[in-house]
Amino acid sequence: MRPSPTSELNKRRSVRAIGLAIVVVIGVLPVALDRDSYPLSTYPMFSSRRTAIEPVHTAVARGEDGSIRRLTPTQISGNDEVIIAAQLVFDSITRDGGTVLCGDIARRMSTSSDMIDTIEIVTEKYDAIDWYEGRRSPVSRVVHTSCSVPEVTR
Amino acid sequence: MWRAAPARRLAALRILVGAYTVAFLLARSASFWQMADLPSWQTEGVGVLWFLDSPWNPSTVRVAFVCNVILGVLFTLGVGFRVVGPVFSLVFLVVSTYRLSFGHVIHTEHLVALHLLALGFSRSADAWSYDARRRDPAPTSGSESRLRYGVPIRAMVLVTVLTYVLAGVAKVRHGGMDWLAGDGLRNQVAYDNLRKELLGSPHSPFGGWVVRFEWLFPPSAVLTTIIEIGAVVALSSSQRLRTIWAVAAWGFHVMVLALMAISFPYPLSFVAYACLFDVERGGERLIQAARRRTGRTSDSKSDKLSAAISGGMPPING
Repeated sequence: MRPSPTSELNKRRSVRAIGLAIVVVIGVLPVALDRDSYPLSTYPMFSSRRTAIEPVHTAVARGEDGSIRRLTPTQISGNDEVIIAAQLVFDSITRDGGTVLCGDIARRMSTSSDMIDTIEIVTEKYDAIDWYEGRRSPVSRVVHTSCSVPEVTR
Repeated sequence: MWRAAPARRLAALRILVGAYTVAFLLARSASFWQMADLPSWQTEGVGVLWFLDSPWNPSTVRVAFVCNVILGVLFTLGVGFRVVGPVFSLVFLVVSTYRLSFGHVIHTEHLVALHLLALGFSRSADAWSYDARRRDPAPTSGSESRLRYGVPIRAMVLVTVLTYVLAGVAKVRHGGMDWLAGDGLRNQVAYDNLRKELLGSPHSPFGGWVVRFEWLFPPSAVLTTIIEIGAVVALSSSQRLRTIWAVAAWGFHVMVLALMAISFPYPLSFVAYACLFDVERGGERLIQAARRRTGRTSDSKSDKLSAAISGGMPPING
């Protein structure tokens, strides 16, 4: 049996309504709200007005000889996503100067076989372009807090 | 734009996106698993979990993750799809939202979550599925076929296009002429690699080397914007244009991986662009090749059954 012209028209209208709804919900709404979320987003990755000198919030380990050792995202946050680790350090600095996070990392690192004396929560600024042209001195380095790695379990 | 499509095309997309998602969940299982142990003060709900202000019990998170993998397998095979289809797409949305509810939204799962919703809430198991063995043959043409199989595919295409256009618009909107002049892109590549180095994460030495060549970045920035905003060509009926765009967008993600060690696995696997192609043809060729290998002809009883369960379409060259 062939569908009636009215039902054909109704189907066509519903299909157009679906298309419009997708454009509004996925395309217009996130931009209007100007909020990055999930699964709706403005997809702001790589779009910020980046300069060559930007702060990097991180945690480092200082050895007994004073040398600095970089920690991995897993050692910093317990998760292997670098962005989550960076955000965790930033949030912890804003929250309590990094004190709680420093203690968490120190406890996590206490089982490490490396000779680590202290953990530092830092904000470092480098000229990123200079860095890759071989000039690696920091523009600035702020230590927000430091804490000792417990010796008892090492 | 909203053309009819065979049931097999939507089914092929279900299999591809479902299999990709299961592989993704397994490959990133450590990250999903570890998420259960992040500090409670870092919880910041997003999307459907906007209300979240404290983490769930770690056991709940892990059980939800395991259930999601099992549902993903059933989704891909098309088992109990009326229930499994919507439930899997929703559970994936919740589980992946939870993973991003700890301070920073990563943009690797947005498109796959939206594609799964389109597939899960459509009749994508009417062919090439366990369920299809017990159903009537799917309609192959006319408005019924367009609504059932054409609309979900076109919805996937539209969503794909919108995500790229929004990303392109965001660059021009936030980065302005600095972005198009290439400074923003060069600084981004350098900063992103430096941050990874300082955070003890794998970075791209190639990207670090490339930032020395300033002249490379203005054309790269313009090309990136053209690919992203130019995604609208994928809405056209020209298969050539759609193919050119899909390959260009894939190439863009390859460059992002090479320059910044940032992986967008869904587009890199090319599954994200499958909805732009007549993907069922690949599956049909595979079935034919298997038949040739086993020496079966298209007149066999099993082929007639196969045609019936896969949407009533006769086998190619049958």
